Amino acid sequence: MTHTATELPTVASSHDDGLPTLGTEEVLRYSRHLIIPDVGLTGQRQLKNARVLLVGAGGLGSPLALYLAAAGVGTIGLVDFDVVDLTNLQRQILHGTKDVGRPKLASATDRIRDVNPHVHVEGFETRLTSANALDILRDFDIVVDGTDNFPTRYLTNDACVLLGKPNVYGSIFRFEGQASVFATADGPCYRCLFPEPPPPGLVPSCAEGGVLGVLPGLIGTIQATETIKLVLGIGEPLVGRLLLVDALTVRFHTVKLRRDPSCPACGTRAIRELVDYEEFCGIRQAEAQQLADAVPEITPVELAERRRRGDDLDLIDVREPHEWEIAHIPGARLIPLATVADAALTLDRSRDIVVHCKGGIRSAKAVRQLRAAGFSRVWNLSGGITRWSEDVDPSTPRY
Amino acid sequence: MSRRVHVRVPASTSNIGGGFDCVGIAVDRWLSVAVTLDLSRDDVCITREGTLCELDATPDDDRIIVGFRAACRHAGARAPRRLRVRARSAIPIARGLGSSAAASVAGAVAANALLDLALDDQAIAGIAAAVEGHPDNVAPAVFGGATLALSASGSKALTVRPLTVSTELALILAVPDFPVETTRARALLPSTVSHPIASRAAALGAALIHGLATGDAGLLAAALDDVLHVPYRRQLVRGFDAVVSAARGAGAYGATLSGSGSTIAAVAPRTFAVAVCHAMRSAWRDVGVDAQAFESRTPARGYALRTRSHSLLKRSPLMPVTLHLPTVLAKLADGKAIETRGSTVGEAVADVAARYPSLAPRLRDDTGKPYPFVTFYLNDEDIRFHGGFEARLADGDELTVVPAIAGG
Repeated sequence: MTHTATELPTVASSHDDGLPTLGTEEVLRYSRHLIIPDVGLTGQRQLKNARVLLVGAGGLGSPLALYLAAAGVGTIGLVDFDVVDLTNLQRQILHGTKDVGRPKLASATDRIRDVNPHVHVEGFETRLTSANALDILRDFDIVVDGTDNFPTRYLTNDACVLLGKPNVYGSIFRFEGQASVFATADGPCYRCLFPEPPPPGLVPSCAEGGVLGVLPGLIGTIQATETIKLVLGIGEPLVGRLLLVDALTVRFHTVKLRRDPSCPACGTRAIRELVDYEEFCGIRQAEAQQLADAVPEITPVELAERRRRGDDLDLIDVREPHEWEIAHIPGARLIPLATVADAALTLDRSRDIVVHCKGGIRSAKAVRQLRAAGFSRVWNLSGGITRWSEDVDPSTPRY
Repeated sequence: MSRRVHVRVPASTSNIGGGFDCVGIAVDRWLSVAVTLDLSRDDVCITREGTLCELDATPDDDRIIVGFRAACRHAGARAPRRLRVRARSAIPIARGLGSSAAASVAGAVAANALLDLALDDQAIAGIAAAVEGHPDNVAPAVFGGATLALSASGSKALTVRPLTVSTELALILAVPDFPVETTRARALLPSTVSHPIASRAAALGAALIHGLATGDAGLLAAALDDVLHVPYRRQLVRGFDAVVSAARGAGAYGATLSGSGSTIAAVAPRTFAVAVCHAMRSAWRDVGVDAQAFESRTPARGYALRTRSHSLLKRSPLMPVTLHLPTVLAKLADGKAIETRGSTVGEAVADVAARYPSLAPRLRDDTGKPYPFVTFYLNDEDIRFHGGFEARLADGDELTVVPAIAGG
């Protein structure tokens, strides 16, 4: 590595082990590491020599990037194509209020430089795909999975197995998290744990189901710890073990993972190249199905116009009560999706019915249920209460 | 050789409007108790989990032990001195949901099974009611569903009969964050009531029974407006009037104190159950009270017992095990740790699936096979490497469900 701080006087320059040297400022900066015998000067130089790729600069990526940078990991790669959004700031501590609207990569690079100017940041402002994953991952020693969706998790896993790179895994939902280290020489991989993803729509994402803001902090710092242990070759990494964290009960529990001899990635090695992960995760099929199942729609502007005209409309909100509490459209009635079938018995078939949810997906399901139950005058509010807020009534809070 | 029994007993609501002191309904929140005769000890030891953590009663004062000893006394048996009791409850304490009646029943049932006392359910109910003083909570805890508990005047004899509840009705319980002490609630009641009040109470009692059976809106609305205790006790429950009117506004026929409070119970058409839950919780929040509200699948069953005697040589086929659920699935059951049993993992999962229909499709597919995205661990070992759902269970095994999640 040649990008070390050559302008600074260096110490320990007489090593011929190929590891970079540390400047005097770095020696002082890392002194609390250097005085741990298990890390020491050599360990710190190994960290400086290390190339770690973070897939995702979001909830998990935030503490990862900050701690790995502070710890002196020499090169941090970041893959993220997203832009900082206000709803990210509740947990993505890599980004600040001033960064809203900026690319996460730009914001992350600034923040990492501020934490530790000795870190070299390599940004990839792209979605990780089957076409680019091998090229991006190839130049790194360790890959850390901090993505937020199943297709990218399977893609990251398979690419790591094909390239023989350890995959430091972390995943979160609401109050619970999981962490492990996959795809080491002897250990299991993500597919050994979950051979197939759940069908789209069954497991809500954090955007749909929410996540406790500090939870990515808990899990991301565990991933950072595992990454540093792998670089230093110390301790017992989470290989062959899955850590389950429950923030509500503060239960940290590990279960045993085994390499599955029939795993198509690391067992039989039937997977010789990257596949179409959107298709593997059923997303293309679900999108096609959604198009095929299209339901009659009404836009928020049209709805507002019809209400202004005094049309007799039954506006039904199929979200959950806690969402209703955050915001609701005046005049709407709350009938959560799970109870729509029962409630159908009490609805007036002769009235026009408009159904809405947060973004239009759940209400489309409700519209299909009602149409199957013989209701013909029923519409889906396209874009849900979110677009209602955007297009009709900005005083309606968005969430 | 040691013996152990497991008992599950439901919560219950009582004093439902016109059914003061006689009508009770089993509620889908459970107390689980495991009692072991442990000859290696020389005392009684209790571990408490869930809502029971709030209790600090000594073992001698614990309702489970009191019920256990009362059953022994009734049957003329000597109560064993060496007992190990593990109790876990999802029933809110001191909220008018029959937590202590459930404990007394659990103790009596455990004693009956463990010591072969040969008591029938009527006798169990009588024993627990005598200990407890609340036959209207004890009866549904024993028999399940809705019950009428009639104490013969001047004697301890108890007559219990099941009541019909229309399947169109939902029972909603809104539980605030503050307790009401039963003794204090009792002290507020007048020692006598006037004749007009008494005759109105008789009419309301009849209205309640017929209203529950038929779902008659007018009868239920009248019957849930009690005259015997709510007028005196509502002062103990901050926000009572607001919560009751919010429940009515959201579609309930009416609402009243559950037991002596602080829980408020509403009866509503099934369709409006969710809206009523929400309205009651919101109304309470508006007066600064944090509350949980839930619909009890009516009628909940009565107590369930499983018993086995085991030694190292002989293993019974249905092993009591605990299934641990992640928070997101726990909402579909009654807690994160479900006591279940089966000789294999598949049987235990099937038992849980049968008890919690909305949880079932999250655990296994339509044909009862495991999903590739939900992994089960048997004492921290992946079951797929031990025969999958055919993996054998042993007493006290711990099963953990790990679903795939993708958040980051």
